[in-house]
Amino acid sequence: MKVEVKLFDLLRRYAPDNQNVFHVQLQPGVSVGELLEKLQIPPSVRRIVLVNGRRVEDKTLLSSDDTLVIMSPIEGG
Amino acid sequence: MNGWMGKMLRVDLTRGEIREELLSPDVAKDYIGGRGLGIYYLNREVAPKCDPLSRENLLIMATGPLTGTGAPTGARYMVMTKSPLTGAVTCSNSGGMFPTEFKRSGYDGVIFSGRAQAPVYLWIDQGKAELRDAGHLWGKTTHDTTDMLLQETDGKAKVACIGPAGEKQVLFASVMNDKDRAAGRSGVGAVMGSKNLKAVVVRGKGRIPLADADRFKEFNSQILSKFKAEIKKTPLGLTVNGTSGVVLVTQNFGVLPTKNWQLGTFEGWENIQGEQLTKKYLVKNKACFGCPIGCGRKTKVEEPGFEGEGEGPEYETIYAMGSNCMIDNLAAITKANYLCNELGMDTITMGATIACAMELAERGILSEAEIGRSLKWGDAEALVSLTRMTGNREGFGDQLALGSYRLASRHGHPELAMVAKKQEFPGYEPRGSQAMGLAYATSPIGGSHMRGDPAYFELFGIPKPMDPHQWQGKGKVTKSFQDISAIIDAAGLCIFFSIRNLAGKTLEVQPTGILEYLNAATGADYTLGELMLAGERIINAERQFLVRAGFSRKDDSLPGRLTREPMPSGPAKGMVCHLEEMLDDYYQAQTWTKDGIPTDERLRQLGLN
Repeated sequence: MKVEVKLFDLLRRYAPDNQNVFHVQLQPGVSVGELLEKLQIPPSVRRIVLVNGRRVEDKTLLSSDDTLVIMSPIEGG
Repeated sequence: MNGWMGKMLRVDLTRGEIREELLSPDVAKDYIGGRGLGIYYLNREVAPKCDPLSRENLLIMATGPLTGTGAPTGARYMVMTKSPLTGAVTCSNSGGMFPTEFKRSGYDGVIFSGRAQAPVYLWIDQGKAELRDAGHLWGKTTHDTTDMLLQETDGKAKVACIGPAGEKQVLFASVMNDKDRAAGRSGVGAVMGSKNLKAVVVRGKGRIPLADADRFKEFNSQILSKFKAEIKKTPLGLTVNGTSGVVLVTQNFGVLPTKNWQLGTFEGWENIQGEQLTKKYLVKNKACFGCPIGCGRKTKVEEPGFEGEGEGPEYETIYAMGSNCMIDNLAAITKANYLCNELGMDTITMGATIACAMELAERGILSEAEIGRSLKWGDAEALVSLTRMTGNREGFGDQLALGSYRLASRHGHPELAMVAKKQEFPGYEPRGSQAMGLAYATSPIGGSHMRGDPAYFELFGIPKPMDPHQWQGKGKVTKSFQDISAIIDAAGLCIFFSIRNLAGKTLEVQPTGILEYLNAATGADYTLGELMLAGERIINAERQFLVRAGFSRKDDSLPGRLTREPMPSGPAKGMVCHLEEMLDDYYQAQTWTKDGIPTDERLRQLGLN
């Protein structure tokens, strides 16, 4: 299956080929955590992950055509 | 007293008389300071139904017991009055250097009453206060006023003042301090203008007494070491991109208000987000007194037509003047922000009112002849030009100066004003951030994110995440966030540091760290229960003012666009805001009646009857 990944802020450095928006081919049943590992984002790097605009945890399973946004924790207003 | 200076200044502008008044230790402990002191005096001395721009209204400026103490972000003061925009009580908060200087001049706060015959300013030099003629400053921008006042008083003094917008009583005029910091909301600057009070200038070198300086210092170094260790691992978003980083969050959650709140995502969002601001316009970060974050943005724009230098924009400005007007030109947004600072106006209401005018124009309700120009979505030049005209109340700017509710009502369509209690919302869509809708509807000052900010748990995940689409159980949590906001505001702290670092990690957000700071500073021996009760006292005292002014459940409302029209697209597609359900839950958590009135028993518990 194919998912879209968008990396922002301090997470941009993990973008392959310096493209912060890209597609990844995955086996069905892959979790968010496994994808993060594949992208070599260490667990110690603080981040917020959204799938289709909803906050998810590392154990959440991905589905075909999901859009992931991975960004640094942000607050303010 | 310790922590508190123990004195308030009374300035009767009608008679030109100034006197000092002792601050009672009991009142100080019960109301903490800042926002708490404001409502204490307003409830006693202002007729809830008075005309806010008449001499009957008071204008109060007050610091908190942690202002200027060196507690992280202890830099804040509050401006409080009955608002000409909402008709309710209001409190508008600001940081910078002025509040600390004010407190070090020997006072916790100042209460202005009446109206001066001619323009004046208050000059407080090391505890000695006098009213001086301000005729030569009338009509000057906030920047020119500040420069002139520093020249004629003391180069090291600090200034809070109004600009032309406050003088002309634009209903959302701000009080600006240190040039670019704003007590921005609800028209506190219009009240200052109605009193013929141009500025407050202070020089203070006094010491702020601490009850237990060693205990304070030790706790402070613990908190700061922990904070520094954390940001060493991951730099704080607020430091890197300022509040403008929030565009990234709201766009991706589908709650970035767009096209006068018709949409929750904006196609041009990447052009106006924090990383762009940092890359293109940031000159340097700026921090308020004692702040380890430094979210302030000193910026410079060189694009032709939008050139300028100043501070900002903040996230709220970017939403209001950007996505909400479909403008993706960050130079124009920044320029309009500079103009608001110089003319002395709230950027949120300014942007939201222009967005409302754009919708009225699109629907043919407002004609080009009436506006005096074409006004289409995305028109960056119109944003800048109309902002200038509003501050000076020229042409169509005179209608915009009344805010979106009065503009839309005048043309027969109040439902197109995106307001609660006639005040425009900050930038979080309640259809995709349910508790935010509840916070807007129940905030005493109308549409605001600073009187209890559910974006913290719904979007930022602090102290822990709660699903933003869920409405069940949001009443109680929103109440807890309103209570801790009251404590933060009253103590003289900033929400940006305090919720994350000085409160418990559950959604009850107990103010444990604030308690330690307050007790070390004041020696008032607050228990955790007493401090939490003080927060509740402030919220209920404000509600008491509103009830006396005629407000009730009917006014805790949102526009039908948010409660009846499903979000058309994005992650919150199909959602409406479930306000009525959340209101029942919220009133129950407050122990208010179903009509939103505090019960006699509740008021008795809080010592408010």
